[in-house]
Amino acid sequence: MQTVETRLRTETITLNMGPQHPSTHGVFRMIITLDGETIVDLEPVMGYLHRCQEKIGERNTYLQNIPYTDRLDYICSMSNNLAYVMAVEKLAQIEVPERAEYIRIIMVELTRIVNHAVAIGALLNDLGCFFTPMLYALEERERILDLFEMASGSRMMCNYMRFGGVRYDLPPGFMPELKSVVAALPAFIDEFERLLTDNEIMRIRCQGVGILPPDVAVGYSCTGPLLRASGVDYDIRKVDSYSIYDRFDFDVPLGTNYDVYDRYLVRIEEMRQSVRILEQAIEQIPEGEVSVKLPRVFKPPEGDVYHRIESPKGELGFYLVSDGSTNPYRYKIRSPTFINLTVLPELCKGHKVADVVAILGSIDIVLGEVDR
Amino acid sequence: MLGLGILKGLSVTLRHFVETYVSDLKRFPHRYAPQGRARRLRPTERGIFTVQYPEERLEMFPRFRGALMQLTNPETDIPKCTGCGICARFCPVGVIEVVRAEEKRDGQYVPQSYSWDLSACLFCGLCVESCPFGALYHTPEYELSTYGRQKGELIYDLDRLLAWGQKYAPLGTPPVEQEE
Amino acid sequence: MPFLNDLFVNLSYWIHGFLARFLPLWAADLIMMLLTIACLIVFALITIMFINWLERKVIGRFQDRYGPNRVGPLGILQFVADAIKMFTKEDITPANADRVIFNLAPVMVVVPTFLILAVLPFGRGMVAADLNIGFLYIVAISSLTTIAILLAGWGSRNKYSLLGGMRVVAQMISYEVPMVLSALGVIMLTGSLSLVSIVEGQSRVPFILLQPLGFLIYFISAIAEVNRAPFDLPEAESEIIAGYHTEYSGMKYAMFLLAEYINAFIVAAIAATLFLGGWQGPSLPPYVWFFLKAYAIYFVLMWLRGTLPRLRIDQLMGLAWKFLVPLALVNLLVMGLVATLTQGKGLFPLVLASLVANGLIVAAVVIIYAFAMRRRRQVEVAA
Repeated sequence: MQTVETRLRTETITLNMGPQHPSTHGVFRMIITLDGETIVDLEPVMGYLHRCQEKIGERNTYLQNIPYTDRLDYICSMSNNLAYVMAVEKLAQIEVPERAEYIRIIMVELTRIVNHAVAIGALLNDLGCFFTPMLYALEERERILDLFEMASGSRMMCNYMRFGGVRYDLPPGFMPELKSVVAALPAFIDEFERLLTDNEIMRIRCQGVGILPPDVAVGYSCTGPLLRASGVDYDIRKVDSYSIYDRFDFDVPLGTNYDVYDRYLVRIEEMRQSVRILEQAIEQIPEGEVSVKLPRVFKPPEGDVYHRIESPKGELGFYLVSDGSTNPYRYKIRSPTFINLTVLPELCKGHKVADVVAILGSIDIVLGEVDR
Repeated sequence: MLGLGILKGLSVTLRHFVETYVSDLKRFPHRYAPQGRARRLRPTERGIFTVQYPEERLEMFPRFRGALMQLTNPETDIPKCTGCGICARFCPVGVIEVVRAEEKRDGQYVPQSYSWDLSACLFCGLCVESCPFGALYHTPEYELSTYGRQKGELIYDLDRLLAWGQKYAPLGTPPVEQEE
Repeated sequence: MPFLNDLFVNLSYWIHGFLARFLPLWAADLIMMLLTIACLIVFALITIMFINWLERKVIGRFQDRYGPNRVGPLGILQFVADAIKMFTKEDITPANADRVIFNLAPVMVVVPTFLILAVLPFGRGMVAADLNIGFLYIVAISSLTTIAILLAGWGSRNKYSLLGGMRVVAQMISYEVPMVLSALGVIMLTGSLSLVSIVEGQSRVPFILLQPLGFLIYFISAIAEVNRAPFDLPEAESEIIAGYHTEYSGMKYAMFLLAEYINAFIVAAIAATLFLGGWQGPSLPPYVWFFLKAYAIYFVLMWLRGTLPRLRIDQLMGLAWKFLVPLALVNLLVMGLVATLTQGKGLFPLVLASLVANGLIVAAVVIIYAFAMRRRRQVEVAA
């Protein structure tokens, strides 16, 4: 008590960061209690982008939900599609043709690269880079989005996966294009690393900031790169392998210091691993059918199902309850970023205001998915 | 270490800076792509990446999901659409409204009215996917903005959709595999 | 081309002579003074417009895009569009703001920047006022900006503004120390505070060859002094929106923008004057040399802005007090020794000794750093 009395009495200030703020990645609000520039308390407020996705999902037929999953995490619509259609396939026990599986893997891994590049770019924006890494990331993203547009007809809202396959087969000219894009990806990642990895400012801003110990990460059920950067070897592609991931040879990068910098490194390494998977998939992809025929009015049997995939941001799961009609009885989304975000106050306490945006950027949220 | 990483980063940005001028020099007399047809920079190329939009336009891929069009049967010169309303039923947001006409024309059902509300459309393509008669397709049109939404400019009726069909049908049927 | 070399100086003599023909001498002097002031202000405004355009273009190039290219050829008229936008914006004073302070701050920010222009030697004889304490004047005047920005941050009654204002005070006061200490080395070599004599002292060799380390320290602290990336914490967009000018709109916001750009240019110009030899240079007219050097330094500023993330406030202060100030002091001591020892021995020994001394300082820093890292690693291993 002695020290408290002799200290100069200061007041804390409460700062509302968001919902309109340049670096909350959308409409996310944080109520921050500050002592000078140091954070005493932080309370995340979500729900500004709530669109009743789950209720709409009950109104829609199973097929009509696919375009809605595009709009969950609008950076990686392909993997959202995949998670949902795989859940329905599990429910209705639909077999997927071999070629369709490969096409799905290619699309999802491209999505992972897009997401991680954008996540790192956004993190650097939050750290105060004047858009340069972000725009380099977006350049690569444009090329990959061109591939998506070529195959599905839309750049971001792909709506490409269907129950039992994909919407259409790959168009002519897709494979050479894909090969050239994939061949150029390592060079892009190298350049990105040259720009950022050794940068002293980047290092002192990120190292030792936002440390998330493994037990806390597991306690908050974090998933994805956030969890792996905390040193927990948990990648659903490995531990609960789905689709044809068991046929590919890839590593799961893990962090050792559990901080923002490790999350950055894990994302960079995951991009490299995705390139590896893509190279193998390009080599192995067979010819054949890409979808199975389903009745126009699709009615899965009664029952419930939960299916999860490793989306670029973490464990994305769909829980569906079917009453045998054309619409799901219950449609629940386990979105990775919403659950990852709950750990934010834990990470931020004791850091400076400037670190909050860095930590938030390293969690990599998309509000469309957080608020659903 | 001691600023070496910063110098490495600076060299990367400087390289981009210089390469934009190199790419400018390569197409020197022209500032924009000839005939305004832009091409995305190949993965191996470097330089200015952006497309200068009004002067340059990217060509849309054949599968591009743009505005909708209604095709006309070239033999009978009546719309292929029979007003069955399957597209309206498949639409997740209900932007399509169809009313089937009372009497047939040339032995075929025709729509009395057909409207597509652009303002709420998701461009998901489920309507095109579901059409059993191959009447509904996407155009490569993407410049669809208007100065207001009060005057119904964003609601496309059958005539406007058919006009687009007339414009784009000669280019060949879009490569959409039909189920039937 | 002697005609071009002294174009502006001769022009001013000619106008003065012309006026003196039918005006008393004091009136002619007065008119000349006013004319000079008008010229400087017009120059400042043109510079801001040009720099604003240039910066956007150059950073665009760093990011593989053209930058503004819609208004006028090459987008050169972009600033006109921007200015019209600024002028026509609603001028808002927040309800709870301290009206007097809030409205005073933008004016107070702009005035010191214009005052500094008075002592800048743009070319041979092209200086509005050759003060014998020129550098001291610059340091004193530029500290005024601190108060103005604090007023803006405090008067807005906005927490972001307050944080920005507080950051400005901490940052600008801290970085003034290494900035002045590193410039002292130059002043020591010339023995004068006047910028004109400093430039004239570099007729044989620019001081950057004698004091590369001093230049580096000066450059880093000058960037921090004008709140530019990577030290742009007071207006860190991703953290505190726009810092001290969050609440300003329209013309008042434009004033802050104006001050920011002209300050950045002035810092580049002063660095060129102190270390790169100012207007000294072969064949081209002196004022051309001056602008070439100033814009070369300004290009580096833009380059840094286009590449680097920003520091955190505690790291920023640490950099100033734990690294730059000690280094500047050591640099000052060593350079003083070198200057004294090589006095009267000609130019070559001075340059050689200075470079060796600078190399020794850098080597010492690297060794100390390596030791510190090893110690830290040992501590980490032990823990």
